[in-house]
Amino acid sequence: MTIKVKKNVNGKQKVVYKTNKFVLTSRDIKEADKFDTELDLTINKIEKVLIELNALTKGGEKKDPELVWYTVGSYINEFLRENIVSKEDEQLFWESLYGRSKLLQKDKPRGKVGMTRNDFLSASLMAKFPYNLVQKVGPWAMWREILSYKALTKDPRLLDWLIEKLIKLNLTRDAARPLLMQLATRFKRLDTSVLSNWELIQKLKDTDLKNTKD
Amino acid sequence: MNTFRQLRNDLRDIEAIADGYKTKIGHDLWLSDGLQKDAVQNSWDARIDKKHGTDWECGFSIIPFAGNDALCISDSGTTGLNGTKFITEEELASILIRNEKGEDLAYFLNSNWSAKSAEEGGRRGRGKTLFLAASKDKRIFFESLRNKDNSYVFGELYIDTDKQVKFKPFYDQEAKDKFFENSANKFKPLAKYGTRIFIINPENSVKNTVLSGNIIKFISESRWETIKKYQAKIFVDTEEGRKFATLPYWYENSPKDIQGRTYPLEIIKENTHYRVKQLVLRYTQNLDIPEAIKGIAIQRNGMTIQRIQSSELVHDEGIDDIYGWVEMETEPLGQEMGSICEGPEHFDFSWTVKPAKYLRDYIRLRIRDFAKEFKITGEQIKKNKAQRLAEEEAIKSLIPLFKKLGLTGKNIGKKLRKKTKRKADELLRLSAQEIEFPRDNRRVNYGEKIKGTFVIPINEFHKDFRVLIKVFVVSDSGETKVVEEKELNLKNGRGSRVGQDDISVTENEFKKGGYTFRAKMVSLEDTNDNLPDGTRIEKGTILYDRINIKFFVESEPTESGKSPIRFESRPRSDKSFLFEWESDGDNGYVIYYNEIHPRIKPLIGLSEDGSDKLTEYLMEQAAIIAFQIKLEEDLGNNASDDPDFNRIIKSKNIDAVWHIFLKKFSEFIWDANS
Repeated sequence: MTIKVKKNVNGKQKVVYKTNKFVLTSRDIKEADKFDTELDLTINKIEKVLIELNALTKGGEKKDPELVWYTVGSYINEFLRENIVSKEDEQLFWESLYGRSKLLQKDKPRGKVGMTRNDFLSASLMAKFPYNLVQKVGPWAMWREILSYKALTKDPRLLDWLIEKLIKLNLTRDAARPLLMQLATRFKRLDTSVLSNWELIQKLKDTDLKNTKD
Repeated sequence: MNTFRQLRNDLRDIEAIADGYKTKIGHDLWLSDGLQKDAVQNSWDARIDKKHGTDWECGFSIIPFAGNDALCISDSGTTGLNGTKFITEEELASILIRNEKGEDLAYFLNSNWSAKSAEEGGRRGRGKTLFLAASKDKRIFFESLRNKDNSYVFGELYIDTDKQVKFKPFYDQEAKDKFFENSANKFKPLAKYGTRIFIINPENSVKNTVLSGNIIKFISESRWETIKKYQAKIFVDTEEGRKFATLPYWYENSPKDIQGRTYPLEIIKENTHYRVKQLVLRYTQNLDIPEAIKGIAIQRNGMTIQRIQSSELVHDEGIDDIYGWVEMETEPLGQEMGSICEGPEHFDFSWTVKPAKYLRDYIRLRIRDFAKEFKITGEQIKKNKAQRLAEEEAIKSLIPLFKKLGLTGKNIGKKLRKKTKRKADELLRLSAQEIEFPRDNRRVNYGEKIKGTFVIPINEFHKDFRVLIKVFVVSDSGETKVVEEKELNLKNGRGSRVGQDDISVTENEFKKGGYTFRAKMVSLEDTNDNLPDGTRIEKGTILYDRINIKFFVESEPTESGKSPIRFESRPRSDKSFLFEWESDGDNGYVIYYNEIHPRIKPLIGLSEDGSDKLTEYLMEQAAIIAFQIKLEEDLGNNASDDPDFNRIIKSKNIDAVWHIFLKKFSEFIWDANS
């Protein structure tokens, strides 16, 4: 598919149709325009809901960042259920979410935002958990940190274990960082799907979790 | 045994050089044009005040000298022919071999020697040969008053009966005596620093252009920048008295009835340091631009080397009404244009060679911007839907050919992609060497098979490993189909196949779109062994996952990036226009087709069948054009990655071009239709 992207070129805003296809056809442009309009409508809806919830002010101040991003994630997940984005266009899709809402983000990031640092993708992953659990783990900053490690999100069992652990330890983001880094390094080259639950838990327990043993 | 020096027939060499000028200049008065260009350039390069050209003057007259009429080319405010006053041939040889600056006299008297710098005009030592060519007697005299030592030089340069160019220099008082002797005491030797050259018994065409003043036109057209910026004085003594070369109206600042735009200092090609000082484009609707001014004057060192016609760069009606000029930055663009791309006669450039190619593409893009801004070209005709679809389909069908030829759009393709070395083989690995698709471009249609859809595990450790091998296909939308998963005890060496002999692509199993054939090997046991990167091999360790082979079901490859070509239709009642193409800068090329040409018109605006016919026609013609584009690009690089094209480039055998095109065309059409 093709994603419509608004780009700043020499101070002027230009529309670019980005695609992984070799040839951009008129049909692609039409579909991209439709997709783009739907997405803008969803973002507008999110802004409206968040203002009603008092999580976001009309000036763009996030009163409750966790609720803001949880809501963003939930609506995007709903949008993606109705509008399929192919695997190869996923990155373009997540990048294209930046710059659509002045309330959610005052300024569009200047450089490229990597997939592990994409707020919208992190919000989408976070919104797959129940909200009360999300709150128990920690603030939005903690979630961003957790979800930025690919190795920790690839197996739901691992993420569940980690969440449980973090709730138990009640750590701040900075305090949790060594634990997250160690786990990520440990599981980076492992295909955990071949491990039984018991084997996975053993490996998690065996990891030398400095200063974080319960 | 004695050593002999090869004796050359210098007369033949002079004729050959003159022939070169004749071919390049291409009009009847080529000798006068070539002569004025070289003479003025040499004189301008020798000016004493390099910054402002103060007191510099150069002129052409017909006077009696050495018992004949002579064309006298004189200059003042110049340095004169400085350098060693050599006496013997050995002394002269050592000066030339040292190739030092300031030896103007030695260089002037000898052919193919020059020590001029990058910013100067003639650096190949050819211009003076043209002086001899312009003399019916093949004889010239010269005199020079030098600013370095205030000494006077006079001499004669001629072709002797043995066909060798010979010369006799005289210095100081002896030189003055010789001058009086040859001028029959009618003229005095030079009193100001400068040089005079007397071309004895000049060719009639040369004599006539001077006496009639027609030579002024050539001077004004090539030296207008020097005249404009330095108020340079270049005179011609005509039958009607002395006349000066003037600035043509077309190059004045803000001429009436002419619109224009100046594109200031800018880089002409991304990731290079080639810059132009300025490009000036002008347009007039009401005035008729003279043929000699038409086009974009390519200026180097204040001189117009060549004018490239706007209509050669951009194929559109009305483009001919655009003219202008481009001034290059001396370093590196001007220097490389002069030394690599410019012809020895200073009348043209090799436009397929870099950086000339970059400059031409840059001018083309700016002309297009300019034409758009001033609404010079006609409105683009709206294409009908069938026509648009036909163009898109034609491009899709051409993709395998573009890939094969390495023709690419912006920022893609093998030319711009950083080449990465293949990683070294790992000790535990998978091989999928036998996979085979029905087509080179990996398109697979329903009912077809992909053969060899298996991997062979390889173990170069000296022990067995218990592993799981997963062979699977992932669609672009993320769905995974397992081909085979197998647990095995992998012994040292090559294991047995995992996967299937082939995969049948059916409508039930595969939706239209992109897929990736993948495989990975995972350890099923905890060990104390380590992988080369130090990772311990334990249960779950991914031992190998580098098999990623993309294919496309019922669709053309969705390569990233842009197509290197796009089609544009143009209705023109010009019989000679069926197809044309031009570079679109970094975006590739635009191929124009004449939509009212009797061959194309019936294919447009028809039913879906009509669009198929147009697709086929556009595809076939664009394939031929793609070969030409590829060959032109490779000519610029003086080498090709395609062996056939490389052979043509190296052998310079143009007879072979059409045969190779037809062979490649046939191969492409064969694949496209099978």
